[in-house]
Amino acid sequence: MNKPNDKERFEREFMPHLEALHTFGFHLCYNDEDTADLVQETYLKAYKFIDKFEEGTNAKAWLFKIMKNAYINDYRKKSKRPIKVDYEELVAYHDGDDPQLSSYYDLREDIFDKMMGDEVTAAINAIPEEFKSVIFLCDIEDFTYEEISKILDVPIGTVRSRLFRARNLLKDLLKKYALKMGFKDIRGEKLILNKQQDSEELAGEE
Amino acid sequence: MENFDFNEIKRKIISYLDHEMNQEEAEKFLTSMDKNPTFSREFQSQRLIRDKIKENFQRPNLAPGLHDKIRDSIRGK
Repeated sequence: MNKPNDKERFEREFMPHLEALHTFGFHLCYNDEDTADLVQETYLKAYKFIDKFEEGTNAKAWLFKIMKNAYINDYRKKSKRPIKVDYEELVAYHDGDDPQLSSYYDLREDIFDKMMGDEVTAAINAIPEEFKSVIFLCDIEDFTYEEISKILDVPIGTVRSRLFRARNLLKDLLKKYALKMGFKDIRGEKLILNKQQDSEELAGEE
Repeated sequence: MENFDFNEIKRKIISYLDHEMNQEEAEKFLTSMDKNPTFSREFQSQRLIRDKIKENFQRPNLAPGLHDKIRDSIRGK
């Protein structure tokens, strides 16, 4: 049963998360129409059960959890979501840390800073949806591992490993873009130099 | 030659950026970053990558009128 001031409270506490919720919904449904319906249903459910929301806890995380459940119950079957990634197939992919300090100089700030936004966007869009979701929840929406674990209904260890793999996939894609742009990968030697610097050096030798 | 476990440092950087450290751990971490230029450089690099991702993550366009539609539905309850 809703109380008289619930509508104002709802507008104040929950509606500001509409854009974030809509983005998450889109990453679940993968089409505009279902996303809009799912967002609306999520808000209606949240309003209906507002008395279950614990004051002082994260309203956005609560909405995300409601959305995930609503999606699983009502939308998953009909959504045109891309084929799910088999995580086991990806376990071996970049799963170990590089042992040498030098290998971390593969995507340094100097190279990344020069990268255009379009390349970054393309790389984010190219990673499988399941990985994009954890990047979205952690890096964009700033949820904690515990909150992500509750939203996605997976153990915290799974959140950690998905994030680790997502970031490695992203790093790999960005590295490919960087090489395509003319950056040289000289891991184990020194910092990556850009093409312009190489050209200047070559010109100086002539 | 400095003796440190770079993977451990990287794990700490991720933990800090992912808001998984308590205040005490975070302060200790930031002090250690200040003391070592190699750590600091890796930290700045990781932070820059996060910022770039944040800047360039594309959100789908919100359906026109969705906010009003939801508000009207709630008001009608």
